[in-house]
Amino acid sequence: MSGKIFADAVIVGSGVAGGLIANELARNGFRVAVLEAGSRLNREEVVENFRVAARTDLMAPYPSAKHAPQPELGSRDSYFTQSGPVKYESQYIRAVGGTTWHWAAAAWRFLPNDFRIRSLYQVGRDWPIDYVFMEPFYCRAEKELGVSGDDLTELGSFRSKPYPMKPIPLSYMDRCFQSELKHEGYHVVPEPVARNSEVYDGRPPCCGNNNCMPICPIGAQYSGDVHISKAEKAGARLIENAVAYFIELNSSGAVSSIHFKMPDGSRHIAQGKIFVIAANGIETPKLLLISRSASVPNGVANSSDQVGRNLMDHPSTAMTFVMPYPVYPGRGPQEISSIVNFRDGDFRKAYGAKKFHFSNSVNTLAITQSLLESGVSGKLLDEQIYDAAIRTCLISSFHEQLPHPDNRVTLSSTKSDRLGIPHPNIHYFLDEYVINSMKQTTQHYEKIAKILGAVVRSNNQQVSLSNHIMGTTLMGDDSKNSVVDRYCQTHDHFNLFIAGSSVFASSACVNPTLTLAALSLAISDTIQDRLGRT
Amino acid sequence: MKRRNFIKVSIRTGVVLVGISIVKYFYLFSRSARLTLIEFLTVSQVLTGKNDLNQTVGKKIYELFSLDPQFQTCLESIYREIRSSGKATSREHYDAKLKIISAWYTGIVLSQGEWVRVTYFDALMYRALKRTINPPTVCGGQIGYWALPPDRKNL
Repeated sequence: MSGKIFADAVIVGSGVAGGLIANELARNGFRVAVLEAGSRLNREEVVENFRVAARTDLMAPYPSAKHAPQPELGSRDSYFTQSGPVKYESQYIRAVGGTTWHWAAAAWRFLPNDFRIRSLYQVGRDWPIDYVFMEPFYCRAEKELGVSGDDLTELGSFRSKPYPMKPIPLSYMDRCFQSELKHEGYHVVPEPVARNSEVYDGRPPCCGNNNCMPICPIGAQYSGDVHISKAEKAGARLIENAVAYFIELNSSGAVSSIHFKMPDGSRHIAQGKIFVIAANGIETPKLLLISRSASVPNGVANSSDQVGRNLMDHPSTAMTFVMPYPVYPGRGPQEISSIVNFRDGDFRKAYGAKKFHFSNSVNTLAITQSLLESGVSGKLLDEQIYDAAIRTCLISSFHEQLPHPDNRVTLSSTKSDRLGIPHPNIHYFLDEYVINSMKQTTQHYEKIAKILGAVVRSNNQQVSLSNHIMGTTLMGDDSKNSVVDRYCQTHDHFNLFIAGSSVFASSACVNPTLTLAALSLAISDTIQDRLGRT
Repeated sequence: MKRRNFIKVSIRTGVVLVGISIVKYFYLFSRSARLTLIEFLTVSQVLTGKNDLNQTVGKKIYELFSLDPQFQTCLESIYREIRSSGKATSREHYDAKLKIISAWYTGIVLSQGEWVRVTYFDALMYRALKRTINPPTVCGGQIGYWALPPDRKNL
């Protein structure tokens, strides 16, 4: 590979955000280069990786590249160094297509009120844009990703267009829950999902492999590699295993190039007119912070000192319960329904919004191990595995978290990767806004179990995170306390954009992917307009 | 308590039954100093109550367990118990018996501090689901099949 690459737009990261922007620009005739730290993945190989792995976590089928390490649950050699009271254990995949290789495909729109929680509830921050601005981009994003949803179910976010596909049918389990819980006011709805309910965009409909996380074996579920493939067909150039490590500025403060290294340590440069960092909520601030120079001693785009701060996720708690009758979880996709009563309300002045969702999966391994440890064997073992599998269920939740400057990504002072790039250091904690919401969630779980006549197996407040990394380069009109403006353009550098959920000014309590996809389409419009004028 | 449960449950559920083929085997072959794969499979059949265990999977489990020098001693003892009584329900070597059953049911083995997968599809825990719930990654049917409970006639 030659040492220099030239393009109209250089994009760092090939996940949903980078892929959508690359495709939009390339199909409109612009020269696009995409730098991806990881390599291409082959779906069949990932499925096989899953089947041969002894580990069952989401990252098990995605081995970390030595030149581009990634966070892994339970790893002895953690990628993140941690300096806060709560261990931040979200994960992401550094590979072509990004982390949508494993996700629930939940494609929620934010509520109009999610964009103005400061104005309405005197907490957190308002976005500089509102739902009216976002709505057409949500429509476009739903079309690009291929979203199945129920037009007859009111979800609180007004729509100007129907969903591209009819809804994914609720499972028998979901229907049981919906029927029993509605009398007590719990609103169980089918989730809008980027999963095919019919042949769409050349991909097949879901056939219930029940393995959306960590890998949909047939590609019925959208993953970011879809748009990278489209972008390449439209002429974009993807450079895999290209680890960006420095953003160079010219004398006028504009970005002139991105420096990257290949696995062999060789150094290369990508030059362009416009640059987009779309490397997720941790790798994006990491790159900005690494790129210190005499003119920007705190890193690129960081005159506000907000780069890396305001890290948000969706802290989650869960309850396992055993139904009094078989509901047969584990048939169909892994997540189909949600309870949406608590997404908004005056309570947000005091504690966070939340969404509950039922897991349509069976942890056969945990059930079996538990029975074996109890001394069950023989025919009874088979019977009890079956009985537990068809009646044991899980409900979990996403809790809204407010942006807090002390929740932040910095550069590790103790660890760096084999290319010499520092690992991220995370300082993370949960405030009362989240904790009080979780306490109330525990009470709701108990009530739900009671309504269902279920026996609670576990309902503790053990917190897990949701891989929804938000806020670390957040959006605002004021350049003194935000990193990007309403167009996702950095305040400090007119030709540098940031795409992804790191720009979110609030977390809401729903999966961020559709919102970041919509923002990415808005960014691509802005860039096209800009490039068209240059 | 666990051991008592194990024995009680084993007796109650008939894990003790040994297939005719296994009994024949006892009479046809003499004991060797080190138990062979086929003898390990015999032990596995008695412990799991399944007479159609996959030999390839058995070989993987056997080889991984054999890395532990104590394993052969335990296996020989369990084998002797089966040979003398036709069952394996004593308290002796409870942990080893549990390890063997666990390997067959879960498809994973803890070997030298690392978990190793020996099989995915042949893990007996999936067989226990009676095809009501397919193992993850296996297509379950046409879109929406999950909206109805499984047909009980097929169970």
